[in-house]
Amino acid sequence: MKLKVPLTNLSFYNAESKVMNRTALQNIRKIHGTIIKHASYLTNVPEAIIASIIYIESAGNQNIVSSAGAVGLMQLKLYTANDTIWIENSKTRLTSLEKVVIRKFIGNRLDAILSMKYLNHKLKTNNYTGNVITKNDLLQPYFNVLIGAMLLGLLIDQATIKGQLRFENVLLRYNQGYFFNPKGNNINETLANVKNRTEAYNYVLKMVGKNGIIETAIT
Amino acid sequence: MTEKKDKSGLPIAFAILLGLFALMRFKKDDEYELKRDRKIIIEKTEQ
Repeated sequence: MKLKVPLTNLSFYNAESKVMNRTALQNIRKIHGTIIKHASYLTNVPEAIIASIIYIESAGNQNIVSSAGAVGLMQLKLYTANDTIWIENSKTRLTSLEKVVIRKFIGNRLDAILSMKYLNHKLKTNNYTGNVITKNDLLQPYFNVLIGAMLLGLLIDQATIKGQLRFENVLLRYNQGYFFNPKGNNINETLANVKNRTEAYNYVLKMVGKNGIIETAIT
Repeated sequence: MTEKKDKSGLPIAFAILLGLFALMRFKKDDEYELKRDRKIIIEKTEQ
């Protein structure tokens, strides 16, 4: 399956920004390269995509916490991380190796996620909150990137129809939330439909527009 | 007189349920294959 970038001629970055972005991406690879490689190996999501999301989300700052509660390198919210593990498991996509790695970070709390019958299932094992993931869990770069990559893989597979990947839909759902439903038969239509959501619109252009981050990451 | 209930449809209903369950399992396995076999090649669009 081929992902050809840029996906659109619209752009957020100019040629000068592209040079700066390249340096920043190289730094991210230098600092977090091993983690990115492992997450890519475990989830089958290309390293360039993971590195690009890390750059756009946190600029490689593993300690960043947003006002909305998004944590770490891939800016995941606690419930998003919890729910990603649950969804992956419920769709029998969670591999034994991923389980081993996740258990290394959150221990028996993994069992609490796996015992949930549905999203936000409030159980004694999750203190009747529907979530067991903490901010400290997501401040650990390895765990953060693994769960972020798992979510990306899930969104990629859901956005692939008859071998065609609608990558703009992956980006919009990563940015706006799992339950966001992008509408449009092609990228231009989809972008037109989110024009009033400036952050989401720019997110797509930053990543896959002309001079975009993914293009920069592969050239 | 006690009316005897017709239970002849039960095995068929059970078989249908079993079939649906098998289909769901098959679909789930598909999801795993989807993840394991995914291969994305990123290329620059020719300008």
